[in-house]
Order: sequence, then structure tokens, then C-alpha cells
Amino acid sequence: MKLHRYESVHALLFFVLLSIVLMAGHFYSENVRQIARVLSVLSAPVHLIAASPSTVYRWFEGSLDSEDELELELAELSRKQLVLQTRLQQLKALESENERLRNLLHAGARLASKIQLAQLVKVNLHGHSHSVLINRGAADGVIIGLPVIDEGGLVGQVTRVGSVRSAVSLVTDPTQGVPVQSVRTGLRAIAFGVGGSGELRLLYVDRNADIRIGDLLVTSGLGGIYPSRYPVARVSKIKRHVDEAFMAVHAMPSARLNKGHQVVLVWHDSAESSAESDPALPVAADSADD
Amino acid sequence: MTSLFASRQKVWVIPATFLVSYVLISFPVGPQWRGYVPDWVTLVLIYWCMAAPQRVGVGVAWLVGLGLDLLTFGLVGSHALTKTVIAFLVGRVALRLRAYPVWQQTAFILILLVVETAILVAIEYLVDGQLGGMVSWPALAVGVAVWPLLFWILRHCRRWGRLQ
Repeated sequence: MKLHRYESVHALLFFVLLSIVLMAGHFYSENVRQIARVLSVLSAPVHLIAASPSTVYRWFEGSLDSEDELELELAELSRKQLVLQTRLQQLKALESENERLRNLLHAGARLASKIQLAQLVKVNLHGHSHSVLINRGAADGVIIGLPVIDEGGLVGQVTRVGSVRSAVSLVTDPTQGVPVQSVRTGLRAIAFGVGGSGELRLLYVDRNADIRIGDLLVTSGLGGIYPSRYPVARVSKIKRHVDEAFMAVHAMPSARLNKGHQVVLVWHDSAESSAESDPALPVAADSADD
Repeated sequence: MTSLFASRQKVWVIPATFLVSYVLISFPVGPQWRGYVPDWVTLVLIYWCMAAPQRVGVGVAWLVGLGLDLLTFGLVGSHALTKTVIAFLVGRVALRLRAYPVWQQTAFILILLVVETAILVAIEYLVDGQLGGMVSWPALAVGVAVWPLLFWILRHCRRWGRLQ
């Protein structure tokens, strides 16, 4: 008795091999990544539909605000704008002073960075629960490794680029490690994502190191992926074991990782060299065009 | 033999259900729930490989998987590979599987989902050099739990589309 079977082993082997070639190509070949970038545009309609309930909700939420509320909000924003503008004046002065001092010390000048706003596309990237999608892609000059921040601090880095969308791995992703530095003591460590809990864990902190709960950790700039001095996390838990060389330090991310609607992409000097944009560009804050 | 133009068959029902599964899998959920979203695409694929094996086989599965890779901005080829394997395994036993009661099917679904997850874990380990980020086991349990309902819905879709 012979059962009717629909699948031949040859077809299986062919497609399995094809998939493996594709994966290797995606990993090693820029051409394959280029094709994947272009094809990823096809996913936009699906993402649009999946994100539509939250888009409609946000629109509805906005249209329900009364005129008084909007006026209050406007007043609040103008006030903030004024404060920030005043601070910015000082910053300009500090920047030029810093430049002069660096010249005196014969230290290399820091290249000005370019920033761009991006919206979060509210979709679930299945299998990448610590990634978010943003509405900027290769067409906007986004490259792999580009740091992403928000008003709270470091969000993560771009890990996959499409033509018009990119995936950002959050700092809480277990595959992500950020070189950090304590503001209070200058202590250096690497903050790794933990996964589920949304926490970070500091590795290689000496048992006797001076670190306290509440210490602010900023990017140290080591490794070249992230620009230095952006807030990353605050130390939330410390456990010392007498018989271990390192202590267990946990920290809560400063950025509003999943809650925000907007993030900022930062092209800094080491990322700049591989981007096809003018390194001499002054600080250009693009306004959101959507 | 069934022909494409025969008797008011609505073959587009099959791609339509795959599109719906793409939307479902991309549907935004809170960060704490993300580990519980089942792979709707795999479940829909299993159904069609079982119910319409002469239409949906490894080739279609590969395409569907490739689409999922592009949709999730994942490693291109990884889901293409797992979906191909799933389609092959289901195609081998499609006719027997259809005769099984739903609870036995469900046990088989669990095996299939475990196989897929194991392959994804292996790929993740080879690419990232570590475990635990990409794959979530609770989603498997959810996938198995929704199977009977999904089976019922898709059977209605198939009958409405007069596929067989």
C-alpha cells in the first residue's frame, strides 16, 4: 500500500538550500542586503494596516482635546522652548570654548553631528521583541549601527535597514551591549540588555568598585558605535557576593523605550565616516516632515 | 482534476488568509505581551498544507516565509527555511492528519511548532552566538491553544471558497 504523499524530498532540499544561501548572503553580501532593503518596501502596506488602530486612536485622542487644553499645551511648550533656547546660547559659547581648549591641547576636534527625527511605526516585529520600527530608511541615509536617542536618553541602535523603514534594537535587547560610564565616579562598564524584564545588567564591575543605587550611567563613547555622554540608565539594584570577583549591578533605562512616539537619529563622527553625508555639516536639526 | 477556472472556486482565499496572518503577527502589543504572540503565519500555513496540499506546498511555504522575514526585518531566509520544513512535514502526512480528531491534530501542531522553534534557535545561535533573544516559548503554547479555533475558522473559509 502506497500512501499519497505530496512533498518530494528534492523540493525540500532545494528550498532549504536556497534559504541557507539567502541567509549567508544576507549576512555576508552587501548586494543581497540591498535587494532585501528594496523588497522590504512590500511590507509597508501590512505594517500600515497593523498600525492603523493605534494611528486612529492617536488621531482621535488629539481631536478630542479642547481648545483650552491645546492653548495650555501651547503655553507650556513655548515656555519650554524659551528655557531651552536660553540654555542653547550657553551651549554655543561652551562649544566654542571647548573647541579652543581642545586646539590648545592639540586634541582632535570633535565633528559636529547631524540629527534627524523619526517616528516609531507601531507594529510588532515578531521574534524581535526588543526591537522597534522607525519610519526612516536607507533613503534617509540610515545605516546599520546608527545610534538612536529620545528625550530620556539612549534608545538603541539601528540593526536592520530597509529602504524607507529601519529596525532599531533597544538597549534592553540581550544581543546589545553599551559601553557606559558612571557620571559620579567615571567608572566604566558594559551594560547588556537582559530581555524580558526591560532592565540592563552591568558586566565586569569590580567587587570593590564605587557604585551606588541611583548613579547615572552615560555612554562612554568607547567602541565607536555610540557617541559619548548620552544618558543610558540609572543603577537600580546592586548585589555583592563575597566569593565573586564581579558584582551584579542592574540598571533601569532612562529612555522611554516603548512608550514614546518619536526618536532622534544621531550621525556622529565615527558613524559619519561610513554615511554618505557631508561630515562638515553643521548641527542640522531636521524638523519632522510628517 | 481541478482546474483554475473550474466551478466558481475562490483560490484567492488562500493568499487572503496569509495576508491576514501577516497583519495579525504585526499587530502592535505591549512589550510585556510580545512573547505571547503566536506565529499566525505558521498556523495558517499548516492548515493549508493539510487541507489543500496540491495548492500549498514547500514552494508557497518558502515564499510565505520570505515574506515574513521581510515583514519582521529579520534575517532573510530564516523563516523561509522553517516554513519550508513545516510544509514538507505536513505534506507528508496531510491525508492522515485530516482524518485525525482535532485534539490529535493539536498534538501534531505542537510538535511542528517545537521543530520550527528549535530551527530558529539554532539559526540564532549561529548568527548571534547566543541564545534567548529571538524565540519565545510561551508563544508556542498560545499557538497550540488557538489551533482548534483557527482550524474551525479556516475550514469555513475553505468551504466558502469552494476549495475541494
